[in-house]
Amino acid sequence: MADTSSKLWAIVRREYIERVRTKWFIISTLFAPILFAAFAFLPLILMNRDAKSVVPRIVILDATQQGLGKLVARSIAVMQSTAEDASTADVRVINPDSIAQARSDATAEVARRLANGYILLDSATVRGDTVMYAGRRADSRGDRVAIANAVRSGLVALRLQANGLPTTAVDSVISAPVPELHAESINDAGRDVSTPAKAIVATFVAFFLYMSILLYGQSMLSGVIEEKMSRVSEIVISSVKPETLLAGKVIGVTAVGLTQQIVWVGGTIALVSARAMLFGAPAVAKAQASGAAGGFGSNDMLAAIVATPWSWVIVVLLFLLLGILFYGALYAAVGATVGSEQDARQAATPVVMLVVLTAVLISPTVTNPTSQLALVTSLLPFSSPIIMPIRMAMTSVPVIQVVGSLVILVASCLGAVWLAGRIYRVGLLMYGKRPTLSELRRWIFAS
Amino acid sequence: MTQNAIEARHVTKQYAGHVAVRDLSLSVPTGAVYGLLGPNGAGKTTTIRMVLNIIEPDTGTINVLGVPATSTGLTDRIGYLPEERGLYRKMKVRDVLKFLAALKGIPAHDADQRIDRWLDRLSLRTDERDWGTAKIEELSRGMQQKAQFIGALLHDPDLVILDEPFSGLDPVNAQALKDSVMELKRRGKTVIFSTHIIENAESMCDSVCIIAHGEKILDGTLADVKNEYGGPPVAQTVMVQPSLYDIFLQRVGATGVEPGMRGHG
Repeated sequence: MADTSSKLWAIVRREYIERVRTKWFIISTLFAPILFAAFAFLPLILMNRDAKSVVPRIVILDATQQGLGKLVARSIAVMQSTAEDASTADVRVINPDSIAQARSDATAEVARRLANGYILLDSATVRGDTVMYAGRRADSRGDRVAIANAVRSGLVALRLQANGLPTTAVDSVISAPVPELHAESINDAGRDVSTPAKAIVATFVAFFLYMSILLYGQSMLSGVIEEKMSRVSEIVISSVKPETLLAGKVIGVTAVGLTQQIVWVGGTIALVSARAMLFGAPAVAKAQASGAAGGFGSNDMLAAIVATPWSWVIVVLLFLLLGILFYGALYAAVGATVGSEQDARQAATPVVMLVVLTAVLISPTVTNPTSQLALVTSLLPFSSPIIMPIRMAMTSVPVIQVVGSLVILVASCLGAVWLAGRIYRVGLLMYGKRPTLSELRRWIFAS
Repeated sequence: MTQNAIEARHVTKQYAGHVAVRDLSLSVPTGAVYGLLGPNGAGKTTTIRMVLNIIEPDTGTINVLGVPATSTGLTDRIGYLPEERGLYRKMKVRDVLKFLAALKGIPAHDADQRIDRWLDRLSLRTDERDWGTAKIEELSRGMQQKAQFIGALLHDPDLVILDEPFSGLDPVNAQALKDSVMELKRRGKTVIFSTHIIENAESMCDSVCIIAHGEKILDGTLADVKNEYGGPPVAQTVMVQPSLYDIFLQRVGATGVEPGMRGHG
């Protein structure tokens, strides 16, 4: 004779397997790590392209007759000193009368891929007016900024020389390295420990928590309605108690959500690690320091992800699990009271409002994680699964608050499952109109 | 065994505003094919749900297979085919059946063998096609109904409750189901039919109970009921001809027609 736990397990297994087999699940599970991969690899790929294309085989046509070309070449070499394949530029001192011929020759070399591009330095350059660059990637903003900077450094050196600074002193000026920038923000309260990167990570995580809760809640709703409308539920509850069916569904759906999150978190961490291995740690560090190639602070964000303590990840997963459980039970209760998908959309509105209200609170919490509003909403069960992880990411939350929030959430989950179980028991066999509030009350409190 | 499969005493179930079942008492003999007859809304489904412990009666007692209907583990000995049919549309037939078997405590490997036998028996697995690998939504309505019928019988229950089992079935499939029911009876199982198609009840049932407006109108063995309500015997000569139903079955090719069975599915 089968006991309740083996039957519960059969329900959990069916819910889990049927859901993870769907195309929707597979696509959405793989999509997030691919998105992260794009964030992780694209800046590095772009940067490598930049590094390889500008440095080697650039021709400097020096028509200044003051040796600016050599200084610019030095400057380029300094800028590229960390790149393994750095090579000095090919400086050609030319007569101002033969600029046209030199340009024509250089253009032919670039066309035949003997060089990537050429820089023309002339009297206008010495005056600080213009410098001309022609090359295969003249549209690259990174290239243009790098060349302009190199020429400026060359000009500085030239003027220092003109003012009588000895060559060794000029050399030391021109070889001053570009320091790595460490940025820190300050707000009204003084030094702001929550860096922008942390805020982005927190917002991302909150967004994923919100999406997961909403999607799995809706998925639970449609699952219950399908079961009810196809009358399968009547067969199932002739074998198990409605409460067991409900518990099995909620556990199954929660397990699916957890699986997806583990793939997302694991996939992201694996990709970030793979990034360091593929491109080498210096390249990653350089990419993080470089504003031009990184873009959108994605490298800072990845650095913040790498720096994320595991304890936080585990707490986030715990909140996610309880969040799906809590909302899953509420959605299941809604599903049991309705007779069609159309009715469900309307009946689910109060539950959806709770989730959406929490989503509205994401931004204020990220901005001000220590406010009263953030404190209260990180304790209330309907919002804590999303708000508490944000607060924990942005600021150090007292352990008592985290534990308190979890205790309240667990108690609320038990309450929600009990409430849903009562509604489920009666609702599953009711096919007519939606119950009124007083009827619902009778369902819940009837013996 | 003399014990009744179902023994209900003074059962009443009331919903908000109306009485679904009023002071119902009935006894279903073990091994009988029992007809629960009545018009729509008579209280048949409510009675069945109370027997299955899906809902509890307000008053009265129900014993099933010798124990109270609320007993733990009792549901594993009962097979149920609800009137409204449906299964998980996106699931494969075999997976659904294994799930239903698991809910009755049948382990997966055992369930597979049972499923094979039933699929063969109800022609859902032939040389051309194994419908066990198809999704429920790919099946015709009749085939879905057969799959659900299999789901109700996989665990070889002692008591089988079939709510309008033949509705929507063509005569060939209806006959296949009838054969299965008669086979259950031969093996000493108790079968309860709920139906409003009287011909079916007459052709298959040993005992019947007619209910209307939640109350019992009459019950007893078919012979007793007929005797009680029959007129004086009249001698007459009849010319025996096959019915259209028999002809259809012969021409279409159904096998195993029970002698003396009549009526449509």
